[in-house]
Amino acid sequence: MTGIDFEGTQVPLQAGDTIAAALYRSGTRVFSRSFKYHRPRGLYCAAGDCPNCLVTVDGEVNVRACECAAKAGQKVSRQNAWPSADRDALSIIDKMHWALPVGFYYKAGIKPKFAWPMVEPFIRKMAGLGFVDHHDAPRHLVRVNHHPEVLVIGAGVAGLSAALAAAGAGKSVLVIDEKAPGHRVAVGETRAAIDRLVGEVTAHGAITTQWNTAATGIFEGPLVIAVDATREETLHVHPGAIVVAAGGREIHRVFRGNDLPGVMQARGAARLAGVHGLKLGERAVVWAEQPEALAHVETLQRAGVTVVAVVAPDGLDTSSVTVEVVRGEVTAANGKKRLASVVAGGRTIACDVLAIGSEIQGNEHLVRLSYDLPVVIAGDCTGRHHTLEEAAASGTSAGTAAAAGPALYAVEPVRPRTCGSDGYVCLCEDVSVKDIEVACKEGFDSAELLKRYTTVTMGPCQGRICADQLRAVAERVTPELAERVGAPTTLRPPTRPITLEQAVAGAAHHIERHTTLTSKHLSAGASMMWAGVWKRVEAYNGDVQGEYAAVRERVGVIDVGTLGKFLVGGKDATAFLERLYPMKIADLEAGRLRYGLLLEEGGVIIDDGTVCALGDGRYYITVTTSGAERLESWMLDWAEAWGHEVYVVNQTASLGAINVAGPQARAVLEKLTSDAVDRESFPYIRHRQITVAGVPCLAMRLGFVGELAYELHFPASQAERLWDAIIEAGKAFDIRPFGLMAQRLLRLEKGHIIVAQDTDFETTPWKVGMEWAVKLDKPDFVGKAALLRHQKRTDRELLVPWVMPAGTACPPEGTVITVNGALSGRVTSAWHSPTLGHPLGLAWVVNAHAKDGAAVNVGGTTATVRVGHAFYDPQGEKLRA
Amino acid sequence: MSGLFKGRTWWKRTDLKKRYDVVIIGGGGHGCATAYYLAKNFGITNVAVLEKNYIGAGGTGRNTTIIRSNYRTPEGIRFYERSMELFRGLSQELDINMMLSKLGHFTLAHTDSSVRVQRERGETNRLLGVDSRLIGVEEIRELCPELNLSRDVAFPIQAALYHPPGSVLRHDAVVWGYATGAYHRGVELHQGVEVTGIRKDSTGKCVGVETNEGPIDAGVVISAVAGWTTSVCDMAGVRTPITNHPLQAFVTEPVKPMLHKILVSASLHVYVSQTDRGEFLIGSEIEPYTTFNLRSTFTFTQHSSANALDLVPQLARLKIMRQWTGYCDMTPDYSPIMGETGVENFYLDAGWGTWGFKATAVCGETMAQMAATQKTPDLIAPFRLSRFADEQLVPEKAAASVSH
Repeated sequence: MTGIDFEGTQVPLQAGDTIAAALYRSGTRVFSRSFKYHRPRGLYCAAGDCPNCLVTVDGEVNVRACECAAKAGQKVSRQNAWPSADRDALSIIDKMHWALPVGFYYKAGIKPKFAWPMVEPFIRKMAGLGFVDHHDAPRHLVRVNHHPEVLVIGAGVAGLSAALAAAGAGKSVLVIDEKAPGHRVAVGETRAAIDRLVGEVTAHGAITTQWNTAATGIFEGPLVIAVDATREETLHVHPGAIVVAAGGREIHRVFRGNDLPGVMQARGAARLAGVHGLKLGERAVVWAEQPEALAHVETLQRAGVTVVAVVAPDGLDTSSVTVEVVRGEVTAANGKKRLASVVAGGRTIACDVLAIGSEIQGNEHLVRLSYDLPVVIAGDCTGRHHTLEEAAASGTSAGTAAAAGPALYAVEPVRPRTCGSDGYVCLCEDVSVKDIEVACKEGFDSAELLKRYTTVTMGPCQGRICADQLRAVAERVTPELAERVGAPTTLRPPTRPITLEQAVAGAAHHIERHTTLTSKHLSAGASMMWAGVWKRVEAYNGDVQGEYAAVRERVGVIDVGTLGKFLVGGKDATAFLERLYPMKIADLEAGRLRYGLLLEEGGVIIDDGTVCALGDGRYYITVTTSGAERLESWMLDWAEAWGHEVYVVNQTASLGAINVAGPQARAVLEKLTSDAVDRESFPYIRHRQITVAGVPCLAMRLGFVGELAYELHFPASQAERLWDAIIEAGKAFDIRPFGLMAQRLLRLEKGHIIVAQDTDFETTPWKVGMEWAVKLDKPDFVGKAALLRHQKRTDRELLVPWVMPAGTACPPEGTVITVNGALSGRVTSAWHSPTLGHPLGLAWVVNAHAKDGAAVNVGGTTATVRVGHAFYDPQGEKLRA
Repeated sequence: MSGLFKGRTWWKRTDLKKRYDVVIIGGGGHGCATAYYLAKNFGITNVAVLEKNYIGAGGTGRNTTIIRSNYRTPEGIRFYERSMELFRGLSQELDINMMLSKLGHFTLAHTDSSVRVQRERGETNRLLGVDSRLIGVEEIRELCPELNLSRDVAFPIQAALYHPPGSVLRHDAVVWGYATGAYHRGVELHQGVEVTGIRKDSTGKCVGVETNEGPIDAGVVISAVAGWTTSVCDMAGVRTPITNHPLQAFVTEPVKPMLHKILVSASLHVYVSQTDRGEFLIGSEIEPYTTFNLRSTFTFTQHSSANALDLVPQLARLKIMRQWTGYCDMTPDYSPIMGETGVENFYLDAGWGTWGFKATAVCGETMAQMAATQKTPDLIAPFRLSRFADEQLVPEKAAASVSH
């Protein structure tokens, strides 16, 4: 295939074609139908600014045909038209302007009340441009970081000169351009200058170039984001200074018929004629408001177009052109589906092309995002047309300034030009001058309000075409408030389109952490679940009940390597922890450990875990899996606040941890260690240094699951070895590895809370019946003041255990609790207890009913509140075994 | 269809007077709605709305246009449900088409803890008469086939809280509607008038405001300035526990409609909906830092895009058209602060964080009642400023953050 498939027709290609050029050559004149009125629209800017040539290419919607390189085999279709853009049935809307005044959608469809919900789905269907490809899925694009000392955006004469000047001053320079240099410039003086400068830039060792790379925004840093569609890269450029030489564009001129196909901006027309060799039409009129535009006459002529007249203002020297000059302005364009004639200087001139070479405005978008950043502007981007010599000088001085370290840029708003009295200000949304004037009279008399009411500047051009003229109308209608009402509307990124997948490139999206045992778990049939940033074992082969039974009846083993683990030491370690934790620390003897809550200043529980006194003034502490990250900085903040000399070593990743639990836990361990692990030598809530299977471990006797248990902490590198040894030694006892689900059930039978599941951000120890974990007689600890205040109040609700009779179905967690139909609480944890044979759990219950024996309704079943006892082994004999 | 074919006057600029019965600081949705209900419900029309910028310049014009009442606490649910009731009849009442679009709202749950919270919200909602329920993956697929329900992603969707009345409506139309409704009842709207001080008499009672156009006397002053609350409260000598965070969002270029539900994911910190114009509206959680800088960041664009593509991968090649930033006046419990301030005749309508737009109607109604009767309406009593000193919070974090 050598051409592109355009709506089923083969369109031949020539070298260097854009899609727009190829289609135009093959006779396409209507490139789209407008958003609201479905008016026919043709090529206008040919520079990626206007919405007129948005097409769908290979399933990608809203591709700028004028900027997209044509490739053989591409499938291209036009948008927002049915059955076709050439004959669009919906253009009937264009005949109904009288019924669709500005803001009509706010004024219609109100009464009767049932009307709008019926109408709305149809309006919804009419919206939008192309159809999204439902099979699209994100590709993984590459993100490339660059750190040039100077970044130059735009490879025209000014930009290239700036690059040479900055490199000449000894700086490393990156030059980017959204296309290849000179891509919009026909042969001639300017093209020759660009070609010569590109040669110099390419030869310079300190300058890197990347073409087809469009800057989409300048952010704080400075950080410049640019997309290279050809290489499928997203650039994150972190420059020292930036030169913006993004060129200029002609001001959108507004007059009756200004959106007809055939009406073009002169630079765009010159590009199509000069670069792509297109004969744009038979008879052209060139409207020249500044000298540059006069040069386009010859460009059009060379492409075979007869230029019938030049329209120019009185003061412009037109001696260089050989065609008839009409003094004045173009005041109207006539034609049905395309341009047939223009009215200028009181005459009607037959023509099929109007090239408008109006005043130049800078491509200021990037610059307006740059306030307070080291940015210099060069060339036409400054807001006026530069001759070759001026552009080179402007670039050189900008490059020199950038190399020297420019002052931070301050945005100076440019005054808007005047606006005509008829025609379309906004091509994206079909908004006419009259619409804007009416809106002003209705009360929307500032640029920002007009923008919102008429939607001018809110379409795909994002104000490139219309913003200046919108402001001009606002000023004209309210001259006494011109400064304020005509102020530029806020500019936002992106300044060039960037797709979602391009934006994503290189994002560290979901951080997922694993212990060194994950591969063991997976090969044992584990399903994994999130726990903070960690992935933990949910269950092995889905057998939660089997895992549960193993722990209660024999022995189980669980990987708890994700626990937050810290070594706290230093001169003030004891005083520090004493003030950090609400329980006593100073009386903790070497070899002992203690359960501890962590509270924030408001007395709210934020985490829990254990503290082991190592005896030499150092402590080993554990916190929950999801708390580790946050609590490290939290502890360091407090140490600093209190002026304590302590160190906090985060050993979460460097240490592994395995918990062996169940009546046979000791028997398993005894097979692997010669150290004493019997009840007398190593009792409950003690820790010891022991060697298990040759691995030195800090062993703790804890009771989260309510059985005899040893929690082993050891160098993470030894985890697999130790795990295998425990599994091997446990075979004789039918040991089972268990996951989080079984652990949750086991702890629930003991009535132990899980912070963040059973607690919320108002939970104080009082509310969950954990007064015993708080010593108010300590001089101070984090949260003490709040708890003292809190003591004087009655809590609205309390966390309490509850049970249901055997044979009732266990309610899901999150079920609400009612009493006599009134909302009275919610279930945070619930499970059917295999040992006790009935459902049980924890719940928040309003104070009045949070009493032992109270009956509450949980999802249609009566539950009984059980305050003050653990469900399983209330005396704790098993865990002390 | 009145006024469709001829232009209508929404409002006109007028001269500032020396005294008003009520001065409302802030010409956003809340301020204009308060003015409207003062005039409509209480016949109080000697009212000025002072707006330093233009009508609807702040959060009103920057939010994601969602209204819903599937909150977590009974206080929150009752309050937002009243707002929904008012919104439902608002187009007719104000004769402005608000383009209310009842798409239905999904709060997606990707973790077991989120499933727990969504179930609780659904059950609490239903208990209070709000249509809302937890649905499983199969029902999600039926209602919203565009969602990526694959198990083979980082955070597979496990369930969703489905709130059928959840709607979007044109945010600008709401503020303009209230503004024009107030204007035509005699209220004055003053754009470009900035309050620079709160005037008090020797007893500490608020008696008016200072502005860039001179002093104004007022019987009652209401601050409805959201992101600028801390500044206005400083002028009045009122302390609030508010911090100001930026919140960002972006829209894509318009494409033909394909997504007909409002999607929110608390786990992924993202929400996605498609507007009647065909644009995809994508946003995120508030930024973690406090600032009065409204500059956009690319980190936001990058991560919100990634999260949005997790939910709807088909959006990969859509072009981002515009991103923007607004302020969120965040409170510790994610509920607003309304009513008395300790300074007599100076009332606060603040703490609107990410949930202000949907409260516009009910705030207008209750703040008008507050100003007219000098008594705190029951609906807003739980949101009193003094609750922070008493530690009687209204915890809505689970239902308000990223839910917009």
